[in-house]
Amino acid sequence: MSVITTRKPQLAQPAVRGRRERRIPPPTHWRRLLLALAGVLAAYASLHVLLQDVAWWFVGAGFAVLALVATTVTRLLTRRTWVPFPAAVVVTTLAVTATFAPDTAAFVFFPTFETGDRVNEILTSGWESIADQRIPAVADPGIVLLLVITVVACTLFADAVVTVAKSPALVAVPLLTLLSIPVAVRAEVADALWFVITAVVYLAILRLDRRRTSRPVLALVGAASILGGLLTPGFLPGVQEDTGPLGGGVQTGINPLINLGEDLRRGDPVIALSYQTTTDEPVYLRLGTLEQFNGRTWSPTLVPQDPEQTVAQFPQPPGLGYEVVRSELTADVSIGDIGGRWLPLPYPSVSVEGVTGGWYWEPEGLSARSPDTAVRGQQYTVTFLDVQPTLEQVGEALPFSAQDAGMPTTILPARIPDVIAETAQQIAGDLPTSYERAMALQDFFTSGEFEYSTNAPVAGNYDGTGLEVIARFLAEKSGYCVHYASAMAVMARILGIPSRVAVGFQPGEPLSAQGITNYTVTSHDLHAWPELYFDGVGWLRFEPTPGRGELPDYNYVPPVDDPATPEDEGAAPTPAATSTAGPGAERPDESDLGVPGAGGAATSANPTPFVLLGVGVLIAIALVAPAAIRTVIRLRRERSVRLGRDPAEAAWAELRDTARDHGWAAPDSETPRDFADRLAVVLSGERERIDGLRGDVEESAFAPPGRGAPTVDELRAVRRAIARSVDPRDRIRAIVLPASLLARFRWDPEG
Amino acid sequence: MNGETDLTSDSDVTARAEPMPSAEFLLDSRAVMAAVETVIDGKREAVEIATTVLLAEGHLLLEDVPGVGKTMLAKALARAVDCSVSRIQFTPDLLPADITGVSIYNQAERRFEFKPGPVFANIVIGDEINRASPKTQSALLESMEEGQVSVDGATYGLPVPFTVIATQNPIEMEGTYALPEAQRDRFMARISMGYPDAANEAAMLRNREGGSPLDVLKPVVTLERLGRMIATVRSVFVSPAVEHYAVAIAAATRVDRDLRLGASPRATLQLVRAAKARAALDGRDFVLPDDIDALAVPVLAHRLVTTRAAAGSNPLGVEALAEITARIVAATPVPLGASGPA
Repeated sequence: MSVITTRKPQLAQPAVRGRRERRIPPPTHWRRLLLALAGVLAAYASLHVLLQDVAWWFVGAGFAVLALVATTVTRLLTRRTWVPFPAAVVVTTLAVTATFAPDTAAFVFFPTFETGDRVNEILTSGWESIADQRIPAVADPGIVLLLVITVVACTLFADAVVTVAKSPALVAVPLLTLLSIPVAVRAEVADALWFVITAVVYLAILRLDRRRTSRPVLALVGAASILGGLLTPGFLPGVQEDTGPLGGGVQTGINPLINLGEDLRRGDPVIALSYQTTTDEPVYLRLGTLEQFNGRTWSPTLVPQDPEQTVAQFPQPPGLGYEVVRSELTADVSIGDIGGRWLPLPYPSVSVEGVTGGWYWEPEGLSARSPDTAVRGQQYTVTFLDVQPTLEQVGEALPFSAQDAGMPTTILPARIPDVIAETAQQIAGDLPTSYERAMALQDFFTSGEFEYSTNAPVAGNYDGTGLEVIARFLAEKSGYCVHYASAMAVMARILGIPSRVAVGFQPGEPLSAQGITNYTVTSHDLHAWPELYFDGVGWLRFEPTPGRGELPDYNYVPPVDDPATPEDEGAAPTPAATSTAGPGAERPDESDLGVPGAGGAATSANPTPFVLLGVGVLIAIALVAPAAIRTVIRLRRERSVRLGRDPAEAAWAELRDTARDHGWAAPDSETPRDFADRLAVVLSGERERIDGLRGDVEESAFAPPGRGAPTVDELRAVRRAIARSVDPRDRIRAIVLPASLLARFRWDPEG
Repeated sequence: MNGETDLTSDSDVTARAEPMPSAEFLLDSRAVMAAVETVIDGKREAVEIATTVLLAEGHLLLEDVPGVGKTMLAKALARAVDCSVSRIQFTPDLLPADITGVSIYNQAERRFEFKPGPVFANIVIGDEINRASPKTQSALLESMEEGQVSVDGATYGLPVPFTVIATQNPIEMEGTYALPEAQRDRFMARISMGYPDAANEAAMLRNREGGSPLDVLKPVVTLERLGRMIATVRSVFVSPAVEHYAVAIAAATRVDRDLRLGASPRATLQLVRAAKARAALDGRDFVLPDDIDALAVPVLAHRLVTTRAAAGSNPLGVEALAEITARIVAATPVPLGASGPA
């Protein structure tokens, strides 16, 4: 017998393992990581509804990829599980330094103390910018840095749950965090598309588990997610586009009024500001003026700010003749809860003291704006003129002639609906002076024919400030300040009077105490009104909106005084923007119409009940989903038991899961007998039942075919016994949050 | 192949034996265990496993320090069954022929005549097997595996049933040769006796006053009935789920990071066989995963080799091996369905 072996030795030693092998992460790791990254980036993309452009996404994505590369590379170098995360933080810090504050860094990358200050500044400005801007906001460096930090944190969290905790299901946490941002800011703009994409990626992550038993669960979760994503927008009010009639101003991205509009929408007014003044007369505080009219929207004239033009000294108001009587008044203004970078000022202002930060006047409208400081919390004293023209002085002004045309305040679109021009001519075309024409227009609107309504324009679908809207408004005779201001301004131009729309606050509620009158102005006092220009006097305020504001004095005593502000600094664009918001929604608060044009519409939309309803439905789905899934699993198993398809497996798996739901440990590696013994020790009165079920399961699984098999009734009896053994709180938790479901998703490294 | 010689008249008892009813089986098996226990006090578990191995047609390795009753257990078990028993005291100068037998020239008949060695018995007690030279050890171990002995070109079948109960001292004792892995693999199970507890030790002192209890131990089972008991064990049903379970445990030992050598396929086979015997002793006609669990350590542990890191200070790593095996068993999911592992 030959004993020579022809085999190669290594073939003959299958059971011998080599020396300690390096443990290489399972191959599904990197796939899972890539999917987690994709999920985070998809969820991150859902922020697009809040921000303009797309550059911010690429920046954030770049940092997320960088962080993930850092952890992955580190993981190749070390086997300690925690090391990659500090490493990624270090890499991210270097990259942030190089990106956001390279001039403060040592060798571009290495942060110094100065870098810390700089980054802190950027972050602060980011928070302020978030508070100030309207949606969609400009992604300035502060916001981008905040986004970078958020998305890197989410990425590292996802990495940690995949590689360290080995519970890929937890990737849901960063994903939901990102997805919840748009919902938290403005639920109605949230984008279902990215929600669904994120959900699909998330399912793919779970799918990598390849555990057959979890397939139905996956299908259910998937269906629920996608359904939820598709249904959610249906529950929410239909705001999408945020551009309103006066939206032009919005594009500056700095629009306090928009935010006021948001506040107004809540229905509860917030204190916008309060002021004391030395005059008995209430004061209109303007945020800005809108001069440009393109037929669709009003927008401000914005020019680059000149550092010389600080609010410490305003120029002479344009057009105000020296012979017009005027007196200097002061007001102490204290800004409350409003955002933005426009300073509420009376017109015409002479000087402002006490503001912090750099504030500069706008040459066109003499309103004041800051490039870097928020208006919130400012306290200042403003000196302004009380202009008191005589009727004679006002009356001298004549309609402008053709050669005056071409100024921003006289331009009209080429095509004007006949009804507007005809109405204007009909009202005042025969009157000789500008002032008479202006008064006729104002009387036309306030004579009682028109009614004030924030709902009608929305309901009638003619909300806004455009020419078409004005035409409809003249026919319907119902609207709010935006419509009145826009209509009167347009008709004034038709009649040869330069005009613009001012946005700001009506005087508010006076509160007298100890001889001092304090005015409290709320978000409901947001207002828009037309200002008309008269040669020799300047800009005068008019009040065509019935029931709103204070009629200017000169209405009664014609030329006497001119409370209306002469000219303002131009850029009041912001207010206009507010209007743009939700066209579809009903307007909740009539009082505030806030801003000219679009502003009114925006404020009026009140999504709160719908948002609450939608959120409530989502929460309800989230609460019910685990119980529903668990029930489906149980019913399937009971069906298997009934039909005799692997009944032992089904019955015992159900029993184990029931035990897990109620807080027991029930490892798969425990034999039925061991587990039953353990159960019987605790459920002392139920030993017979438990052993009966256990015996049937054993016979079904291990005995020759044809022996006993578990029945559904047996199974249910034992399940009830388990449920009875815990206190009611745990029983409810077992139903609402079945622990066995989580165990199904726990990652099994064996694949 | 010439001359397969049957040297025992009743060698083939199991081949034609009929399985016996469960009740009868239980009576007989308990009688055997009770008889052994009259000699070995307080070692119920060791007695059970020894009986299990006997009924599963395996070989048993008793490993412990001298004087705890290894030989006594082996002798008692052999005495309890009415069958041929032989005992070999292994010493360093023992030769293979001292075990298997030799061919002697018969002057009268002018031919060589085979003189069977002590291995030709139903139960062979190999005392202190690790004190013999490897050459001698392997002579016994080969006959254990093949159930036959080849001497001078002739093959002689060993009696059936054939069980070797070997004892050995731990390797660190003086004058011992460790059994190689391949030979340890031939034993179905390895158990340690352990020291008796105080009460049992005291009882033993009293019992031994009047002479060895072995002397009064009478056989309780005939060879024929032993054959039927073995046939009963053979007929125990093993479900696919249990097969999967045994295979999964064996497979897990082959990839465990603390083990250099895992369980062989022979180990899996013997694990299931032993489990069948345990099931029958428990009155069942089918194997449960619990049988596998209970037998995994005695059946598998002595075949495994730890990595140096896992062995700790003990070069044989008996405790370490038992721990590792128990850990693997505790981590292996128990399949319940016919489709195998979940």
